[in-house]
Amino acid sequence: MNDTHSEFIVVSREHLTVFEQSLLSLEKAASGNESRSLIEHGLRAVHSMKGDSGFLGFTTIRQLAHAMESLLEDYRDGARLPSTEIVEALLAARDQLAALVEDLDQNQQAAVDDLTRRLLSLEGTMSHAIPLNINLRDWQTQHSGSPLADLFARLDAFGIVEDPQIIGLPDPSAFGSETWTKNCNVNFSGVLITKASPNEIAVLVGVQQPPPFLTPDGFERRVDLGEWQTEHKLSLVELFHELTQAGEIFDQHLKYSPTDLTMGLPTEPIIWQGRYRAAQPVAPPETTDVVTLQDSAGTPQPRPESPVENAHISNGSTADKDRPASPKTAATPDTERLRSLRINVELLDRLMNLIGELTLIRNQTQVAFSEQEGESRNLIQRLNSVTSELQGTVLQTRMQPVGNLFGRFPRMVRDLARQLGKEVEVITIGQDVELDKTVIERLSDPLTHLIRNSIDHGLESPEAREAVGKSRIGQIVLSATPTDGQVCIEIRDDGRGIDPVAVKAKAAAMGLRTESELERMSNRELFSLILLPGFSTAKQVTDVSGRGVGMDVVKTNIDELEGHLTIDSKLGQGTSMNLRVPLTLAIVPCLIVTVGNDRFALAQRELEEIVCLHPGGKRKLEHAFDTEVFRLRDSLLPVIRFSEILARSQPFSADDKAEILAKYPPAERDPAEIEYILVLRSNGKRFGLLVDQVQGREEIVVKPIHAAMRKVTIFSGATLMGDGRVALIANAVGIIEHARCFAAMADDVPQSIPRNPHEVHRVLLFEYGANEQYALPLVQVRRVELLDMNRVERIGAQEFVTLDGVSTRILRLNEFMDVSQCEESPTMFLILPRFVPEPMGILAQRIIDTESLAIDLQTSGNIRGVLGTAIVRSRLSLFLDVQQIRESVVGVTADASGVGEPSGITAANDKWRSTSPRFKAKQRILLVDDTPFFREIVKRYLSAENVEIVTGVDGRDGLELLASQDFDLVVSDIEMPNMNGWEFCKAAREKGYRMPFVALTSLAKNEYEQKAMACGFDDFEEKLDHDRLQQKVLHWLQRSLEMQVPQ
Amino acid sequence: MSDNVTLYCTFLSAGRLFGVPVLDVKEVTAEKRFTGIPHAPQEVLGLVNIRGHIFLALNLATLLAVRNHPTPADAQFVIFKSSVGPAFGIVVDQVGDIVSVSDKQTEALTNGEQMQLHFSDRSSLVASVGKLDGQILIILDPHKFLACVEHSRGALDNV
Repeated sequence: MNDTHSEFIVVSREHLTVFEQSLLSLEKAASGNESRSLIEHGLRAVHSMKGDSGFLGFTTIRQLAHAMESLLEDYRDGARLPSTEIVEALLAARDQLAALVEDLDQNQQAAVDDLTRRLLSLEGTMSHAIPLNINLRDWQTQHSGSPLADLFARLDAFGIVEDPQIIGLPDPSAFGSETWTKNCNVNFSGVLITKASPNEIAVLVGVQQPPPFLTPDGFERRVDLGEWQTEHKLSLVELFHELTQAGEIFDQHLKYSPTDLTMGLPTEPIIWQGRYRAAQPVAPPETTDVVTLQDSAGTPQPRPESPVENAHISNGSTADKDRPASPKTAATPDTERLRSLRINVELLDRLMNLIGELTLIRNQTQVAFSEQEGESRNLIQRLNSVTSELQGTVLQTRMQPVGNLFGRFPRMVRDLARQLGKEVEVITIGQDVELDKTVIERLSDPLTHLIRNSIDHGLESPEAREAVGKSRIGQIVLSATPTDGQVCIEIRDDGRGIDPVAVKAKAAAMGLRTESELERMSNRELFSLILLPGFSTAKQVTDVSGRGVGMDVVKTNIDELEGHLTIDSKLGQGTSMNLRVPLTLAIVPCLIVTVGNDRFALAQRELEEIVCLHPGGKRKLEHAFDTEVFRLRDSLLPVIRFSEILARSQPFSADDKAEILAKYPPAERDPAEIEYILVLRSNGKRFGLLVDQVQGREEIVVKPIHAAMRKVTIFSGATLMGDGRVALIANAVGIIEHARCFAAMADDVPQSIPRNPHEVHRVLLFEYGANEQYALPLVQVRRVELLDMNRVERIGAQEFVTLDGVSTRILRLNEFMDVSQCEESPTMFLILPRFVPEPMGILAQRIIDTESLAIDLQTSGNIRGVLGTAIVRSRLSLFLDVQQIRESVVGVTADASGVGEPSGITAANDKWRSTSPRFKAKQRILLVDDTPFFREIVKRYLSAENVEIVTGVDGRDGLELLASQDFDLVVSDIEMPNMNGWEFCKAAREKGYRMPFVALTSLAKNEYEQKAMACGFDDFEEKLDHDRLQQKVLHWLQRSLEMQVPQ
Repeated sequence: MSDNVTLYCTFLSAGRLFGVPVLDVKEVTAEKRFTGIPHAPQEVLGLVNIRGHIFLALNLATLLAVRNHPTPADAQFVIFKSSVGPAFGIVVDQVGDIVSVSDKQTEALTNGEQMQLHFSDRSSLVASVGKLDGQILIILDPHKFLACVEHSRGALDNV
């Protein structure tokens, strides 16, 4: 494909766009004037295409363009508007034309013929378009004496000769600007548009019969038309007319020898050749006609470079008069926007690089000349401003108006609306807002999807709209607004809106979220669910949408663009989809941080917030398992030290992690200088990256890191900084992997409890009645639900609410204890405790906060349901004993229901109580735990009449107690100061103590099973699991008895 | 064997005279504001900005397994053409003359010689040895440098 061809393609695309826009606007045009000018635009576009294609020898394009033009021509005066049918046909033809243009080499003659016929048939009786293709020289020769002007005059007498031009039918191999005049064929072509009826023409030329050469059988045949004309005394026009009456001529072209037309008409014969297919079966399907006409001198000397396009002058149109024949089209308001110069993107990139270089030179010059005064300073300043402006301008070259993107939607909407039987109006706002080329390209698909969705799901049928009092015509507003380095694109419709209830139901049915989660979600959060794969609330699947594929693709596309989509909707009023995309991808806003002496960039999109650690400040890093953590509001944030990442080239091993923890002991940790934790989110994982300094924000141009360095995963690229040095761009994903941060940690990081010797607990503080403050350790809290009191159902005096499909008992504290009642409010809180198998929740009026504290309980055994009290936030707080409360509830339930079928748990409890007295002597349990709080809880769990519990504070204490007293069972914590549980058990076994040992752990069991057994434990259980712990202890007490019996 | 003459760009590194075909060299600069790449193999000095383009700088001495050779302050950066490898160069102690060496003057290394040169594990980088007047020119094949560095990364992993 040569340059001329690609130029043709570019220009044709513009013409096609203009043509389409004109047609579409035509449907809405108000005044005759307006529609006239629109038709003019359309005509001009298709006309130019016809001219260009004819010039270049693309006959199929020319043929189709011509048919389109002649069809539209009738409406040029704007008096009438083309019917929908005609517009439809024209749009179809436009698409075919576009396909032809994009695929110049492919011959799609058949499709074009069909379309041409369709177009021509639409012209009806209004006019007849008779294609002309006349060998000027032959005509001259045959009509000796008559000037060529005579030919035109005769043709004019029948109607309008439209688009008369000298066209070349080049031998493609010989085509080229140099050889054009010598080697190319030249042809006069045109179409006779006549308003005369066939009869009138017949009368005019005096014939009644169809041309005699039409034979019934289809075959190729050459006819000397000149001869025929002489014989029948008929004009060629008549002949052509007769032919088109009976059928159509196609594949027509002239054959004549290459001669320089500027030197006058050649002497060799010029042959018009074509194939003819008759519409009626009687007529010969295929004929080849040879026209030889004659004329003498006086020929206008048409120059091939300027096809005679001013035929429209005869039609009263002078707009094209001064148009250059070159493909650069005249600027009309519509085409102005599309005027473009195609520049290779690589070239632009090179330009960008050069400018970067220039900036560096400027910076250096500034330094070099900063000492000097006068002339040179002036020069430097000018250099400075020019460079900056240059940089801005080059950046702008990549920017394109959103209008280019929006422009294609009216057509799509129109087609879609027609297909779905809806009436839709599209309004576009902010077409001039500019976006980077790549962003525009990548927005096309998601926007198309969203708009399709709006039309299909959003807008109602005209009837339905009328029924609810809306206008029949639905509206879709497409708008683009620049906001703070981003562009916000909104697609708004005034349709039925999204029903949050339907979304909820669907989401619940699909199991995407639990009911209670859905209950808490805002509408906007709910609507964002429709972006998940497989989600569609449309009741029916249509061709257009509703299969639930698409929206997730939209989301993926938008995520790739680093964009953000939010959906707002009001039922019955419409939906608005807001899309925020960055202006450009080439330039990324980054945070520049330093670690040691090195500078790194971090993409800002991954950054959620920055936490500053001051020397001597309260906020400190702590240790949890093998990682440092930071308490960020309510969650634990794993913290990775960037300096350690940089220092260790291997992904962290357990040893590495231990080393790091040892290096930064939490107790002594008080940073000498301010440190920063960057809270990053990547792949849904949130972590903190500890850096020395934050230098600021900078927009950087991302360059790939060197190909040989692809194994270095903690960086994603490199960039040039203002001072000319290279800085590396940190890669959050790579850093997480390198630190093996989440590999060893449980999924629910925020729930895990850091254990350190100081035994800090997090407790939930809440109020029920106005007088008391209650506290519950967070480890005993499964979750807190927001409770809508309207959803509470009552059975007798008991209250229930359905959570996650389970009917959950609501406990009011004043029913179990002597405490103040709470005031009713529409929404309350329900605290769901852990380790309680029966679904129940403690009602709270207000959640105060969570607080980390070392629990120092004042045991107050008097109040049922209360473990003890402590002063928290200068208020006396009641620490609840969940198990006691539960027992009383379960008891109450059994009593109240009167059913003698106790639940499994109650049975276990009964067994515990009833079994224990059966022991002959009082059983003695040694409970070793360093935490007073847990010690108290576990002690309460195990308390029974015939059981005596002695407590020890650590392993060493335990050993001493074992030495001085007899025990039937030892229950020991693992993590304790001085001597931990492992060591304690080992030491006890070594000393020959044979009683069962049960380990208490707050850790996941499996990992510790082997170790526990190796150390000599008989069993282990989770500390706070009341029921299981009781069962285990019971079991081992019995075993202990059995062991003693034989002795 | 015909007597072809090849031009070599010579340079000194760790006290030895090396050469690479002059046609492989894009330019020589004194730019040395390298940005080190953590986790990169030890042969990599870092990235450097040469007029808006980022190049990877390799330390020739390290590449040739010379240990503990400090890079002098006036070291120079020899950048190779993109036909040799993507955007990279080597840092040498000092750039010397361009010398023409005929095929007759060069010899491929024998095993024994490789050992003598103490580059045993990196001998593949040496294309041949040229005998100049009173001097030995070790002719390197820059095409192999990057591959060598990529392997080195693997070697480091096992340390």
